[in-house]
Amino acid sequence: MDVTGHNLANVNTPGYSRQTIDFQSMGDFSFWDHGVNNLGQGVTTGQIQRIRDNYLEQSQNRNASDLARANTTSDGLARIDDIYGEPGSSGLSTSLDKFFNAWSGLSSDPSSAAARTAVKSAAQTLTDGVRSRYSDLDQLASEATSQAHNTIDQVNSLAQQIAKINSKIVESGNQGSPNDLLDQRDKAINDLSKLVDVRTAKLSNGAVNVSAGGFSLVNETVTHDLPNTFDPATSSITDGTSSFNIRGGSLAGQFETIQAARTQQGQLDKLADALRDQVNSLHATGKNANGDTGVLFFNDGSTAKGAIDFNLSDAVKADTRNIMTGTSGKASDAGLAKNLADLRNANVDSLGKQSITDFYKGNLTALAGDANYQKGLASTYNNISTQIQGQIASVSGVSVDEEMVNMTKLQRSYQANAKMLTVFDEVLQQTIDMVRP
Amino acid sequence: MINDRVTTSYQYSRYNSQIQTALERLNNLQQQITSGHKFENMRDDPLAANTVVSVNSLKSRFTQYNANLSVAKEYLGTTDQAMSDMTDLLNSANTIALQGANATSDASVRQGMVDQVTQLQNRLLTIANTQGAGDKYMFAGQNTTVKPYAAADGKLTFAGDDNAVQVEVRPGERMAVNLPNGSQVFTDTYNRLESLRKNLSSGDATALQGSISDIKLSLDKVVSLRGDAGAAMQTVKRLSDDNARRIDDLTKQASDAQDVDMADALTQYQSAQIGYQASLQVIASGNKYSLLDFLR
Repeated sequence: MDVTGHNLANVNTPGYSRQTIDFQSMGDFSFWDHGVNNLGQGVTTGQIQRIRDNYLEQSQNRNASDLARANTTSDGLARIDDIYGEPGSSGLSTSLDKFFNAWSGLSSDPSSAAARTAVKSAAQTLTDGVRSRYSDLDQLASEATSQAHNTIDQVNSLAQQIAKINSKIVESGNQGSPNDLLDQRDKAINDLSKLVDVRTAKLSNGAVNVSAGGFSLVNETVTHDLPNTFDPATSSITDGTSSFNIRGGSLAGQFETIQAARTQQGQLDKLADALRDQVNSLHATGKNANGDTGVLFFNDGSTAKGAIDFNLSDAVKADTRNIMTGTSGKASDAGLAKNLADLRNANVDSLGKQSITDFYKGNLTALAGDANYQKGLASTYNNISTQIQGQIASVSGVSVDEEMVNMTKLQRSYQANAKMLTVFDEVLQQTIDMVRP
Repeated sequence: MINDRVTTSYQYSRYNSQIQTALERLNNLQQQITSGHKFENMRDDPLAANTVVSVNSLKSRFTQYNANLSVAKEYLGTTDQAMSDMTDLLNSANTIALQGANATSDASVRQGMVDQVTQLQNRLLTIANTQGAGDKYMFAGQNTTVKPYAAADGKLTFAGDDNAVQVEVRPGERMAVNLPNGSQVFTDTYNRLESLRKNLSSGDATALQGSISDIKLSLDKVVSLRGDAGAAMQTVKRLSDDNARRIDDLTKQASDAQDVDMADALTQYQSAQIGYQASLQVIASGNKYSLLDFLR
């Protein structure tokens, strides 16, 4: 009845495994030392069993790692996707179109001051867009980095918790059934699985050794702190001498997020460099009405690199007349503007022989595909998790009805025992009455 | 899933995931209906979103081409007007030349004719130096900021060039919109008017006959140039219509890829709502009883 009560009390406790009791009959009792008229002594309680399926438990832990990784990565990629903000009128795709369109407009009406201003403002929107996305990605990467450090701290504190439970179990000599301790430890290992991919090994003394990515976190009652130095590119943690690959849990997802953000920053660098090089080298050949030549459109690629300080040149910022449309200096010479407008379709070696717009779009689609894949993966793992949880709930979960049946059964058996006593008492009474003079 | 035991926590975890699924579906459809879009981000549907990005990009290009075509219209319209003015001018010159060939005797009458021709020359100069939007000289080739034509010693000098002004009208397609070799028709005509003026002054009847046929040549040239401008204007109009149609097509393509079919979405929404209600109903009624209710 005590066990049933315990089960019912924990019907909603996460990680609780239903317990059953083994009833055993007590040994025979011999009345007269002659080996005759042996009588049963009744019943005693044996071990209280924890009902748990080890295979399911391990699947659950593995899946928890996969799910946490996919969820974290999917969230990270979704945030990168949001940073690009496509498809939308404020995306870089629109900015690139507007930039080249403005050159097309200027090439068609090269003497127009309005067309010149349109080129400048389109270029400004483009450079601002590239720069702000670059810094948003930077922000995302550093957030994910600090989250990864937090995760490592959590891993270490869970490892300590597991080691503590280990030592309690070992202290108890693995005697009896420290069921609730075992449940707590299973819960801690499951929580740990959500953070990193965990391997466990059960020892005969009841302790469990835990490792993550080949790094030993818990060795019986001793813990080793997961090192705080990591390389997101290889998704590994290093203690200075050897490195350990983290393949699961939210930590792996955080590494993947950092890596994806850094990769995208690299893509923006390529985009900015290609624009700067291509536009500048053409633009420098131009000659304006004042006879100026060698003027750069974007800031100088020999001093400014990548997306971080992608901007217009000071000359163009100061005066739209420094925007070149031709090489002759004549007001309506639009040959250069035409070539600049045609850059939109020009294949650039540094972009893998793709045009600037194709490169951007290809990168965007690949990223979206990745984000979509990870989201699908997360959803699959989530379904599996529901299935496993269902199975675990089926095996280890407490059924109120079942416990009620048990309680009724035990109650009846108690009543029967009580009745037995009453009958025995009556029989005894009658016997006494019989022998009474 | 086939389970041996249906436990309380199993039941609740199933209920939870069922309600979640139903609610997610409902929420998703709700979002689609209120936004009018099947998806909001690239990641929701990378392929369709890629189409939307490409289509919008192309659409913005065609919008730009239509803006460029307005520059073409300006040039061609100005050419048309100028050639029309030149026709009038040459017709007047022709009338004067014919009059001069018939009545060469009176010196004062001839002087009046000479003055008229001088005025025609001045008018020609004004036409040749026509300015368009942004004060650009329309018949100066690419040298549009410098006043192209000036008259000195009975001759017309040209400070512009013979380069074409081109406008991007379609992807990779450019169209010359200014008067080709624009200076020639103005300088030739000016020179012919100058010789007409001289011939009127001298009263040389034979030479005047020559001037009359010269003016006819100029008139033919002007009419043919006007015809060319008209034909080019037709092309511009056609291109502009084509581009507008392309923009419409592209708008439709983007809409097909991204926009929600409202009737369909609303039907689905209703069925999702019923599904959600049903799952709530099942949980509420299925979970009403436990053995507890029957034990006294």
